[in-house]
Amino acid sequence: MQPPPSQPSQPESPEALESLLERARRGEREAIDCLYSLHYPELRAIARRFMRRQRPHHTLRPTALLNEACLRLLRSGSNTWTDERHFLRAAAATMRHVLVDYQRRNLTGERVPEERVEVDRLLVVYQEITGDVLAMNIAFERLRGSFPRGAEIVELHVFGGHEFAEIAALTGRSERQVFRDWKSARVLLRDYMERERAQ
Amino acid sequence: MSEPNSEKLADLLGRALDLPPGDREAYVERMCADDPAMRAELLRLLTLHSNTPDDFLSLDKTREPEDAGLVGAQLGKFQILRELGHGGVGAVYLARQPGLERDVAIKVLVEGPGTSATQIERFHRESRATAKLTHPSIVPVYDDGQVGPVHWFAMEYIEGQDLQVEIDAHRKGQAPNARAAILPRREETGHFVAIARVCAEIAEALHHAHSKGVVHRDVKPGNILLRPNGHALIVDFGISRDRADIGLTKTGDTQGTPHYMSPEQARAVSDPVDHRTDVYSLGVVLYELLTLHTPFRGRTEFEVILQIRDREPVPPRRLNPKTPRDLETICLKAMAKRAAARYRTAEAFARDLRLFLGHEAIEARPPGIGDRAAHWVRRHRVALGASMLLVVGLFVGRVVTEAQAHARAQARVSVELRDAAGGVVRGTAHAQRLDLRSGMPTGERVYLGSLPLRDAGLEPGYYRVLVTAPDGRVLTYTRDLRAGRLELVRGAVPPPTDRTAGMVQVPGGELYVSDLEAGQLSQIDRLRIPVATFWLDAYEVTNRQYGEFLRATGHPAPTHWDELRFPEHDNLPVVRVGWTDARAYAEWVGKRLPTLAELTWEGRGREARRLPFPDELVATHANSSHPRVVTPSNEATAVYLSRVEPVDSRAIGRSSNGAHHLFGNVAEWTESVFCHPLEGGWDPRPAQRLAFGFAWDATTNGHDLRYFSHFGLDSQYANHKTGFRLALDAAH
Repeated sequence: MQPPPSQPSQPESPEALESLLERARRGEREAIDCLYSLHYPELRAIARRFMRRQRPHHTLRPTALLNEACLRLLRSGSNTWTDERHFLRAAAATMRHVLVDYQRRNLTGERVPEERVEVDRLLVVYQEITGDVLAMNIAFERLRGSFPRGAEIVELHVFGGHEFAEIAALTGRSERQVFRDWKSARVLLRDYMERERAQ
Repeated sequence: MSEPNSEKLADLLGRALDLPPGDREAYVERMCADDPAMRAELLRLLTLHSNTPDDFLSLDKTREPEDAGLVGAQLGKFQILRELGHGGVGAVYLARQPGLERDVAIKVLVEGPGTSATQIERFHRESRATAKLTHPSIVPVYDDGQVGPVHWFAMEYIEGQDLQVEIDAHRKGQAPNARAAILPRREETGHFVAIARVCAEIAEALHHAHSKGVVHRDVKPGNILLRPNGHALIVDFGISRDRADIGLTKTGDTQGTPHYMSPEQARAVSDPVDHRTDVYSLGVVLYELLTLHTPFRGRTEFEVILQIRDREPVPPRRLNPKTPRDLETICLKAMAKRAAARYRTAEAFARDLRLFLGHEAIEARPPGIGDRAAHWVRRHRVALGASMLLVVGLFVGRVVTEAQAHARAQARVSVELRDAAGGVVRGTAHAQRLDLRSGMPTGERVYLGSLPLRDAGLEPGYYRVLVTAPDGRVLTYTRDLRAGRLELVRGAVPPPTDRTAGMVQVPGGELYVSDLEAGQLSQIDRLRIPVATFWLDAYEVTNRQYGEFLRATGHPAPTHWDELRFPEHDNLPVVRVGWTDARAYAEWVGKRLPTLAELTWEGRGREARRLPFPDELVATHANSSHPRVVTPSNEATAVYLSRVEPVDSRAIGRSSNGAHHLFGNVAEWTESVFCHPLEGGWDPRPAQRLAFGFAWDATTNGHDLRYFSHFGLDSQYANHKTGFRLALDAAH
């Protein structure tokens, strides 16, 4: 019995990934697992970049957040992503929801499960870059209605941690177009947030 | 809340922002000459843009926490000497208490911009929780306090090393750079005694904590310290939960390394996490001490979590045969998936370890047939709930008197065959073992005995039980026979019709799929698989055929079956059947499911094509390429009806021997066990079977055409795109 020359859960071609995604969409557990294995290092890297400037022994293990996000995705039963772009958006959206959820519970005085220190620290980072995660979330939902293309970029970039070049590849557009949309989406979000605050 | 012109607005805004700041207003004026409202809005947003801080939504601007610079500082009565180590939340320093001239360990959390109130709270809870506890195996807390942003507490300084370092030292064996081990190594006398004692001490300490309402919840080797004299202590109650604080029902603890996480923690849904989570995690520590492996391994932590949830550990004696049987039994009991099957308390766990140390009989029993039966029944609930005639059952009651050792080593099977009137029929039974990866028979048929067969012993494995009926017909029952388990095969004599009606004969040969052809490695690639001549259904099993089976046996109908049981749907392939349903049907008609190799053999054609026909003919020859749609299950029937074709359509796309729809239409179950690829081998998962051939949405974008799909699906998995067809050995 020969060892496999390559791990089948690491498809190299887009077609292979496509097939994996299709299988995951059908609800096949193994494929979902594979998909997570496949994206897990990437998701970790995203979380890690938030932390990389911290002092070494304050480095957080970002895995808690990601495990949380993945479990939530699995639990949601909405295994309906149809392609990689869809999946990465689902992952990013899950991150966003986890953060919003935590902040909401923080504010309502509900005890945030206290062992999830990493989530907490990520939340601090997000509070810092958005000004207010909850207001950001409301503004984001509004942006989805008014400028869906921009909302996708914001989600993938801010919550998925993807570079503009990656987003361009995912969405089949040029990096320049993506960056242009990013700039206006960012201003629109800021606008919505300020209006939200004014109310 | 959609603003009508917002796409255009966003577009113009982006274009304006592409320009140098000085040119932007002019651009807006030019573009919005006819639209003053748009112009005003854009100018307002441009102003907003220049007032937006650069770090808005910028991930690179997170601030660094301040450096603590604590060495040399004074905290309370203590003088910090040096850092001992650091973890996720804080650092531990060695400090000196001048008056008493004793060394202490001080754990420190420095509040910074990245510190949350929760973390601080958690930090203090650790000192509070620990201070409540007094036990020789729990490190005592001396004092705590806060100086400005620095939170700290002092505890006894333990020389020696943590158990993780110890395990690493054992793992390295005799390597020249191996760290000194405190406990005797595997080849030294006293090894297992030392392991049992360490775990007993920790179990006793945990019991003490539990009795004070504190659950540790992060028991792992890194949190167990060994004194140089070999005695053990548990530390880090940082994520412990105090019953008085919160209650025991909360889960979702994804903190820390996953290897020691209990199944209920890994499930993170609604199972309560109580003190038995500590029993489990300490069981894992024992496992690792015995085998020097963590019980579940995966490429990623998430994979490990899934395995903890779903898989049984390899028994320790298989990894380290010197492991005393009783220690294995104790370890597996502590690690039971269901909390209720574990030791009820950490004290009971400790007691069994002490009994082992005192050479007395332990209280835990090895997983007996009863347990395994219960386990098996859980996994196969659907099949058991299924048909009265064809149920695969187990004798659960009669186990205790069996010689346990014999029972452990052997799988056992009982077989009976009944006629349509329910009378017991005579006949003979053979068994033929199947290779899990290729699904093909290996070795000779073994004669089991004449029917009714009681309790024949076999090597554990995946078998076809072949029953020869009085009329000479051979009936096939494919079963996963497990060690220590008795399996009851109850067959029924099928009606005396020609079973090969509607089937095509496929001449045998040698299947060889080279991995070079496939974008993705499959478990039958690079194997030379001798395929014996067999019969294969020309068509997928239809709704009409399946309906007859349901009526005759009372087998539970697929979900949404009501929407399909109309004459106009009779000739469409049945779907929403799991592989256990498909197998029940197969056994009812006296056939079996085909193997992956058999379908691949026929589907690819003799010229080693990838499809039953040349790739470029796919559009006409296969029901494929329908767009993929995301469908809620209550609407899936509509999708099915609009996409699926009658089983006898597309004659043009038949395989060389005349089987329709091997590719496309609906995917089809096989009897082949899914093997998960591991580095260096394949890990069979008998609960999962492979499906083959894709459904109507098979794409023509390249990949799917290169090889046939097959993927592991759980026994209870059924969807509107997967059906089946049957096979029969030519010799039968």
